[in-house]
Amino acid sequence: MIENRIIIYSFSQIASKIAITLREKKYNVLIVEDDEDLAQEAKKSGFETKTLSLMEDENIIELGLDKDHIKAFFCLGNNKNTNLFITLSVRNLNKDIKIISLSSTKEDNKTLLLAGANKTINPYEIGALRIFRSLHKPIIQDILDNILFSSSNIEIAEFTIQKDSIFNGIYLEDLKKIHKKNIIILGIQDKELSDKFIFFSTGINHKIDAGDTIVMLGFDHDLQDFKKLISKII
Amino acid sequence: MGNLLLKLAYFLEGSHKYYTFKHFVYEFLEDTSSKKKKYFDFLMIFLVLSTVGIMIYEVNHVTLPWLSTYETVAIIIFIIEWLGRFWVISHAHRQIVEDYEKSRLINQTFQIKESVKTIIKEKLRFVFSPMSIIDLLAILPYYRPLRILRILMLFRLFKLLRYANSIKQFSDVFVEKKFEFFTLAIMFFMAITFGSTIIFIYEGAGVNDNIHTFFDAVYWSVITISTVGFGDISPVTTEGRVATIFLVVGGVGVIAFFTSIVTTALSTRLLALKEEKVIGEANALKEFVIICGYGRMGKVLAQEFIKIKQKFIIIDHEDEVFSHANTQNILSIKGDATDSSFLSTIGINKGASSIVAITNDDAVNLSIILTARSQNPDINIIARANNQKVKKKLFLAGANEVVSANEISALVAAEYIGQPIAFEAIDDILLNTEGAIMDEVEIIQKSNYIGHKLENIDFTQFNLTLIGIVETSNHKKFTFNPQPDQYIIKELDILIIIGHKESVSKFKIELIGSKPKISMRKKISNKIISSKKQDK
Repeated sequence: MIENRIIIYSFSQIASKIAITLREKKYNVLIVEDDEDLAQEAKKSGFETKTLSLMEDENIIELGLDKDHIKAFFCLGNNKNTNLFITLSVRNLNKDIKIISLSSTKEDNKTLLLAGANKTINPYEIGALRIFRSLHKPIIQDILDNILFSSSNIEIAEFTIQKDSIFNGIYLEDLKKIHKKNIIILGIQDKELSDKFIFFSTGINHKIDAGDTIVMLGFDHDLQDFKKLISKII
Repeated sequence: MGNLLLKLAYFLEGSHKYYTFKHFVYEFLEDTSSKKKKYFDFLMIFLVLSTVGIMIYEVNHVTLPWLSTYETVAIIIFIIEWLGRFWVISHAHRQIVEDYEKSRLINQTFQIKESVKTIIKEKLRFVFSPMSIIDLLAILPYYRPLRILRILMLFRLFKLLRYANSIKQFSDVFVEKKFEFFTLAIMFFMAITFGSTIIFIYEGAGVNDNIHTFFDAVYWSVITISTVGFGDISPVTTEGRVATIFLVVGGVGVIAFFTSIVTTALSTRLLALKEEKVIGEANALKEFVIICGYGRMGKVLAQEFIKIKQKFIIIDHEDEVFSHANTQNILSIKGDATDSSFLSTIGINKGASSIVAITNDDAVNLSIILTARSQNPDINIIARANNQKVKKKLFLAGANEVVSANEISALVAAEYIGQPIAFEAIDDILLNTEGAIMDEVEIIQKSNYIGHKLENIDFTQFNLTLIGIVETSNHKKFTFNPQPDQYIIKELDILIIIGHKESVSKFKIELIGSKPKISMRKKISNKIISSKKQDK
């Protein structure tokens, strides 16, 4: 079994960019492409590549996409209908796998989510919103870039609370008191309530249970310290 | 006499009041870019329509006294308007001054007669211009003994041409298509002459009871060729009927030709009119963004701009795209954004604050950047790089920022795989949805918080989370999560906060108006100190 395995369907322009970024983040990337030329290109870029069409269920099973050990599947073909078809096929074979599909309009987003994608990526939307922020709120844009994409020392991190963690059962407000380090708690996702993210700033003093995930901002080393603290067992 | 005129001319030339007043009148009457003219035009249109209405009413009603008073007032306004135009159309006194100075320069005796002649010529040119004649004819029917000229009241309607720019544009169509209309007129004339001559020869001499004069024959052929065919005069001989057949067939051709000329001319005019209107609107805008390219990215950007009421104009050269923007009621214009004169007519160096080049062709984007930069060195340029490799070149061309959608999407995807929940949290903020927003709040000059510690602002009270502070006075340095008991708030500091929209706007209002409250914690600690003192 290969750790941190990610399968990417297609080696389109955006797919190649995503593959490269994921490889930089130490993921194990497999490219599946039915076009000979693009497959060759992927091989040249140093990716493990398979020339296969995913329109057949047998091929999806051959890749092991029906098993749970694969971290995520990206469906990034240039054809909208093929993407829909493959998204639906993979979801049909594996209920739990994380599927991220390429879309180009808001309407596509909806159909892809309906077909079983967990997340859609619309480069036009992402690009346009970035331009929008650059014009509307350039300072926020810089800070977000710093936190999210650059290698600056401020990071965003998430920690899931384990059953035997010392944080199990305490309130968010108290969490701040326990840990006075230079960390900002953004919010929490409660597994019981829904998958909706609750921002800390809404003012609700939430009780932390096992399985909840806390999201925070901070300097890299502070976050590391916090991680040690959070995994402490009572 | 000449001397007196010369003195008067110099006096007027030197008078500031005279100029301001003349300009004021000019703005009302002739300055199309002035708002005053717009209001004045509305008033005049109302007067024209109401006086015409009164005249129609008077045809079969007894004249009411107040109506005639009203008409008198309207006519007086018409006369004043005409006189005003007569006055502002040229500067008579300046002609005299200029001629006088010219004659002194070449050492000749000054002939005031010559100057007066030129002035009169100029004024007469105005008096006999078509619009002026219409104005005069509109005034004329008021004079009761000339009631026979009542038909001229319709000229008041023509006056409307003056006040509606678009109508004027349509009348220009006829000037533009002069050649076509001339050809048409010749064809029409030939057909009419031909038809009426034939009918008059065969049926004029007592054969047809209805045709007595040649005019009857002409009348008949016009009615026939236009395919109206009243039937009051109809041919009775075979020759006459053959002529009718030819006239009707020819008539269909003439009408088709006429219709096609007018429709094509009008449709091209309509486009030009619309374009003019868009350019006019764009020129009136301030701080607007020019979006070049209305593709998938452009559409998303436009929607976001509409949400925050940011003014913008779309430029695209494709018809399809252009019409989509049009149906969405978005200010848009068809054209080539790489054309510098086109960009300047839109107002790249007037009201535009930014230009966004987001076509799907990197070469075009590069060209837009260069053109825009050459027109306006200070404008903010954001460009899209379809291929990451051209990013550098776009910066080199003068872009302030280059966005590669694929690159960011890849980063977003990687982030999502790594930390899905953290990503979802920030996704709200990234995608600008309804939930929480990240916003900046500036500490305005003279704010009461300046010089106080950060702990004096109670963020939890507003349900906000402070992320950090950008110090404008310190090279825009960003301090992440500053210590509340140590950080001193400075003028123009920018607080970066996360919270719901309502909380953020509430917070902004609070920050502008109020005095800093000394926090509870401080009060308690003060108490502790004093109680300790008492103990001592």
